[in-house]
Amino acid sequence: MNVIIEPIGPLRRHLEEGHKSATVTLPDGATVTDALSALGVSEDAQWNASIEGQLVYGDAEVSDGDHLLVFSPIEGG
Amino acid sequence: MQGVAGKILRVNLTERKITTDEPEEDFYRKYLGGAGFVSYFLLKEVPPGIDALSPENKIIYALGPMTGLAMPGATRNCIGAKSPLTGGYSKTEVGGFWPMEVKKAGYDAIIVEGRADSPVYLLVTNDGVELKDAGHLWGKTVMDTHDTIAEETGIKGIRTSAIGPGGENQVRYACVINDLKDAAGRGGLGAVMGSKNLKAIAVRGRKNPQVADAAKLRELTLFMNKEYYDLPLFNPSMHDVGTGEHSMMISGNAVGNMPSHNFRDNDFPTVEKITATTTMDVYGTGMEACAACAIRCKKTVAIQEPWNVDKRNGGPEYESLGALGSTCGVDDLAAIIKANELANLYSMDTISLGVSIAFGMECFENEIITLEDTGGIDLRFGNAEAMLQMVEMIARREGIGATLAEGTKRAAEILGHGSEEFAMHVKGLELPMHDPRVKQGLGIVYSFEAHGADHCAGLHDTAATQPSAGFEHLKGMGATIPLPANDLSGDKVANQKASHLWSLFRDSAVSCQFVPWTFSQQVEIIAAATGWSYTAHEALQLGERVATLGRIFNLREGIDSSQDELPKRFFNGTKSGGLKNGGIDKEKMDEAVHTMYAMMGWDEHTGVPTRAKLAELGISWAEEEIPATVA
Ligand code: SF4
Repeated sequence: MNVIIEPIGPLRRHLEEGHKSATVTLPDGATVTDALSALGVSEDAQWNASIEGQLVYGDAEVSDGDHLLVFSPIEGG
Repeated sequence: MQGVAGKILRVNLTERKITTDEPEEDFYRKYLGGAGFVSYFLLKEVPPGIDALSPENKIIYALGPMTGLAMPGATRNCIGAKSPLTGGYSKTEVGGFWPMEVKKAGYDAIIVEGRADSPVYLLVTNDGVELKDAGHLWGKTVMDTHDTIAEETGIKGIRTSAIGPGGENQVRYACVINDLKDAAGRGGLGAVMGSKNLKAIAVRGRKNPQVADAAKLRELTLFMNKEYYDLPLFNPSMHDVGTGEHSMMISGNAVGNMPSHNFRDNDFPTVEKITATTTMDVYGTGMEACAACAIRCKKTVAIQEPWNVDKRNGGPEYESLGALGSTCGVDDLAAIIKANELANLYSMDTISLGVSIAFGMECFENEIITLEDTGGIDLRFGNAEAMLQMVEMIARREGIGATLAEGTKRAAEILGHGSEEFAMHVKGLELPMHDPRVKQGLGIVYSFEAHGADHCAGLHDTAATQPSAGFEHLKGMGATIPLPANDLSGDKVANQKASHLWSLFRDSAVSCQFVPWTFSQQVEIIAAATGWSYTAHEALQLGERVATLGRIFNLREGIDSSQDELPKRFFNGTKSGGLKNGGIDKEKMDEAVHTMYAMMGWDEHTGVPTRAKLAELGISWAEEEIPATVA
């Protein structure tokens, strides 16, 4: 299956220059962590992810055609 | 003693009497400074049941052992008083340069009591302390007040902590401004200054206290100055654009964290137009810092057209961009920046100001406020001009501005007709720009915290959803495991408790949360300044002491567990966007709040601190302050 990953902010460094997102091909049953590893995001990097506005976590399964938004912690005062 | 001045300045405005206290070393060790001092003095010295705007209230400006050290994040002070907004315990922190001058002038805190019979300002130097006439300053903005004091005293490098017309007119969320642009924002403490006829405290000091280990302090400073950008606890965008960087606001909006239209929608398609990155790209003039801080997270901005904005008054933080922007449905960046400048000039908290205007807008759209009430202003969401007009009217308490100057809780009581549904506050303190439906653990802290919804007092759940250096750091203070942002289990409560106590220890030290000092570095700094070696246990106990004294202060004022509640809106989702699948599960939130009581050593049902906990914290004296009706 294919999953689109769109990092916002510093995690963009994992994309090819000039690209806004990347498509990764994954086996059935793959998780958010698998999708991010396929893009080269290391396990200890701090990230959050959402699909259609809902926060999702590392062990959540992804589905074909999912659009995964990946970003840093949302903090700030 | 080392690292502290050893003196507290006490100013009675009614009697125009100036004295100093010299507390014992034990007192310093137990309450440390900042929030610790504020909690102690408020409960000990402010009589129960008084009007927060009466002469009986006291306002406390408290430094910490770090204040004045030439290192990042060290020049801050805490201010506390009974809040005119919540009627309860209030404390708020602020940076700049003013706190350093107070330390150098020889004081660890200033306690102001009573009310002057005419406007005054306090002048503090190493040569003495004087009350000066401020009749000619009354009505002036913060900037004009500062400039006039600087000119008439002729003291080079003088710093002020002052109020503008918002404080004078006792807008219930008026703030206190250090050095033109740094706000001690929350809880309405600027209105307390106004009620006392105290326009400003102007300070210039010359002498830092002796420290225990200057070489260690130098080593830590060099480390932070060199390494901060790459430290795992640091967010590099703070150095580049300050709070509110582009991706943070865009992703926040994508998941429903960016409040829009008074937290009704949280789906703001034009969010890119109002981020800190856009602010700097379009209007930025540079980045500035508090004293001795290499991080320089303070943006400055200037605009010539359509409004003039002077860069001396600072640029908007994330909270201000959200509160005066998306929360009001406004994406006109120049208008937001102008409103932020006016808030600083008039001394009003941008969070409560924006949320109160948004409340007014929702009331207007629901015909609870009419065109007649607004004097013809079309107070719809998204009307930038109307938002700016409200800022002016609130500061002057003019027309509908007088109602909105009361804050959302009281304004809803005045307006009636179901408007309380639109009042976004906890205990009277308006919600900051982090939605508790997304950050549900932070919602526990918003609910139970003594001074209401405070985004600096707990863990932002999205920063602790997976193992990370940040989480490891928190583990050392009692956090359990990383958890989803919407988890409300006992483990989440433990994570929030750890973060809450760490924040209260930091607020007592008084140190900036944006500087990535680790817990162990923080205690090393205090030891190098004072010679006191805090263990983790002692430091976290200090946090518990602060929280527990604040809790008792509120109980004494009739603020009990029934007020540990989020507004109803947060138990529902939004029509579209990241929260369309629903809000917080109320039962789970209630259970989490009660679990927090139990973890804090308070009664699990009533939230009243137990006698055993008071004894453990060395504050058994506070037991007699707990009203018999709840004890
Ligand atoms: S990080 Fe920013 S707010 Fe904190 S001390 Fe430094 S300049 Fe001031």
